[in-house]
Amino acid sequence: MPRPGGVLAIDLGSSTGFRGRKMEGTVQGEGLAAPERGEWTSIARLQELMGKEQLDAVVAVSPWNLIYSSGCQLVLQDLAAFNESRERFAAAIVLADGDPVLTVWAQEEAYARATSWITDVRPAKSFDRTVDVLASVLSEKGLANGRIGIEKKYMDVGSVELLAAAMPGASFEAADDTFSHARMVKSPFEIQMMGQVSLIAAKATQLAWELARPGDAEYSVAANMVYNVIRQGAAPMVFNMGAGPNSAFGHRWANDKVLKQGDIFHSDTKARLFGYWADVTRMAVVGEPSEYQATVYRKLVAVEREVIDRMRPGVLASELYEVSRAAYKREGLNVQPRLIGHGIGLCLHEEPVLTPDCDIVLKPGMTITVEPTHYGPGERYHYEDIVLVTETEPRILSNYCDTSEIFAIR
Amino acid sequence: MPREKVTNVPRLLDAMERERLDAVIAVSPDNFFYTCGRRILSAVSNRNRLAISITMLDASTVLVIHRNEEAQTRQDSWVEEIHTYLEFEQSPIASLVEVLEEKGLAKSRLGIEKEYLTAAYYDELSARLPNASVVACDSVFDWARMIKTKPEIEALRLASRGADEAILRALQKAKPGDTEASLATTMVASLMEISEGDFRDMSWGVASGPNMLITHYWAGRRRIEPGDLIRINLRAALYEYQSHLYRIAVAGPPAERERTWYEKARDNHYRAIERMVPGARVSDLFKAAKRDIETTGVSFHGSLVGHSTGILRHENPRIQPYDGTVIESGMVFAVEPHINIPGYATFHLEDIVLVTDKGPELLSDVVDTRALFVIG
Repeated sequence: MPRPGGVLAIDLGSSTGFRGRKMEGTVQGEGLAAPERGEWTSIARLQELMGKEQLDAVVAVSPWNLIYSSGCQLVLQDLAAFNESRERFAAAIVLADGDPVLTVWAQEEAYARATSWITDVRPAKSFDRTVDVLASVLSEKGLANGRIGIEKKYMDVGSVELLAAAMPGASFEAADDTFSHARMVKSPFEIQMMGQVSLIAAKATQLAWELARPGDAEYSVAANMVYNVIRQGAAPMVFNMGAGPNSAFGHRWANDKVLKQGDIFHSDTKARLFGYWADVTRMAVVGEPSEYQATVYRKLVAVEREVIDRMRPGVLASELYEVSRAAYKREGLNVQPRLIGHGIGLCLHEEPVLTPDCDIVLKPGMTITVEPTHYGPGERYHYEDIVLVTETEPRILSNYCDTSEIFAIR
Repeated sequence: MPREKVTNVPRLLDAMERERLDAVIAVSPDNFFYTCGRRILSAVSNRNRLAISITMLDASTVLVIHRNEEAQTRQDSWVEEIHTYLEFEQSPIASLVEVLEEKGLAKSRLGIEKEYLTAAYYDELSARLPNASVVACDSVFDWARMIKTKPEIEALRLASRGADEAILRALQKAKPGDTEASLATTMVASLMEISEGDFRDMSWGVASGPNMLITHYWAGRRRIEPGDLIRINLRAALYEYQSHLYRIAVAGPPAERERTWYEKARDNHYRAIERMVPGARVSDLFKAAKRDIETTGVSFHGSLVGHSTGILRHENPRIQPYDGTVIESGMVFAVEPHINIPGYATFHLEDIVLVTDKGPELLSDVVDTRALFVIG
């Protein structure tokens, strides 16, 4: 919100570090290599699922399915998700039989060729409509009367109507589940990315806690967190951070509220690395924690660990919700409605979701967050890790340091 | 405290009446914000949690949002009537239809953003609302948003100056031998510091030497070498309003060739800004800028030499050859008629300009673009 007078604090002094504190050991990004060009997700898995639905082709247009199908993270595709420059969206066309095709706006052609494993790249010229380019590629591939899967839960109805008009003989089916089921089990490369980005988010939050002092403004802690995400080579997302009563808001960002003794501090940290998301929540307290604060925090971690311990192949997602419900009750916390965690990867929230109704069976290679929450009087306690399901023990990917006790900002 | 209302109400109502609409339904994050003062990011990454606003002909607005967004929305929004639903329990469309029925709009002519609403939600809406006539209203919002209101102009001014200041700090600190990524880090950290954490939706590009030739290049580990040209771009939003700036620098004293091309690009850029006066037609502005570029001896194949900016970086009107819109006082443009010399470099400046009755006003006025910026 514009402050009174709308003044920018341009004279805060030098831009090296924040508040003059040293940022020891934060540069990790230098060693972080970009992924080698190559097929890091399993197109074969996607094609197998397409076979079950008898689809001749699927068209990926959401940022997450575009990366999954092509390896290409395009600036315009991310912007289009926010309704920005949406007429310039790219599309990856994966065929049941034949080589995939990538259509991009001409100015992104060089970048697409440099990063995608798809070699058949078709540039759309300035005033070409993406839907027309799509229709011509699909027709060229002999699919004018084909059965084509599109993302009906992402693509705007305006574009879908234009596409259907350009290809009156084709049928367009919803392929949202085909994509999301293909993405659920991560490849070794994807697991590596999820591991890196999870640690980046956990570390950035911990470093921000360590640099924070009573009397700091929320934004100064937020700035350190964001800065540390960038310095480790990932992209931050300004999302949710607040102290004291501000912790209770669903999605609120830091402002000039000053940290005072006894405030709890909540950071739901989000970071993105080559398209892969981290979603890690940590809590701190300003000064010494009260008995109540220390206890609620321990109970929340206990609930989380109990759910994590059950995250093994063969378990139903809904069973994990029931485990959390029992644990909440035993610990005397308010039961969290509907959701105790969610799949994570190229999408912040993806399948499986840990709800009472989700009948997806856990498999090795799934990455899932667990995020118990408890609302106390005027404040929220919330804790979240990212877990990899393996053949054996579940592995916490966001395990940067010991967080079994609430962190005290001194 | 709710934020000051940004909506250009008279224009929105005019457009609704012209299209004979009883209500307009916003589902995109930008038009939702425009009608209520809050942008809900979780509705973008998680489409189960669609955020919806309904604006009626008496200029009143009601919201339908996911339950966990209610507290923050009540704090930020000037809208008081807020309905909520819970993901996995009720679909946002079912919730919307309940509200429309309650408002007596179930048999009305309703506008919805067909260029944003997903095909699946549209099918659900049509099934649940068989007696209404649901038509596209994307252009209604587009047209209302063209002329910025006072609080919008103020936010755009702060966003433009803050972003320009962040670029200046990064340029002042940079030296040959630094990586592109380190320049980007300083720039982004400065944004946070300057705005005390209020800047968001940041993305950037720092392209040095040969990387300049790649459109939308981010920033990498390449070290800046003496003599390199560097193209910097920074996009960031303050109080939900977007600035997007391009600046050019050189590592060490520029050679004659770099200096001369920079000055040609700069002169074109300044001429393009000077033409931003009420009454000018955007297609003519495009032609004039293209002619300027081609006078320097390079050809121009781009589709755009500038665009309106606001809640989105690219809004209408865009400065392109097929748009006959006449510009008016109160429009805000990003002006960017760049020169691209294949195999050599791209000379790209971009500034934010407010159209006023007294002429164009430069909102991004921190970095002095008269001479090529020398780092180190």
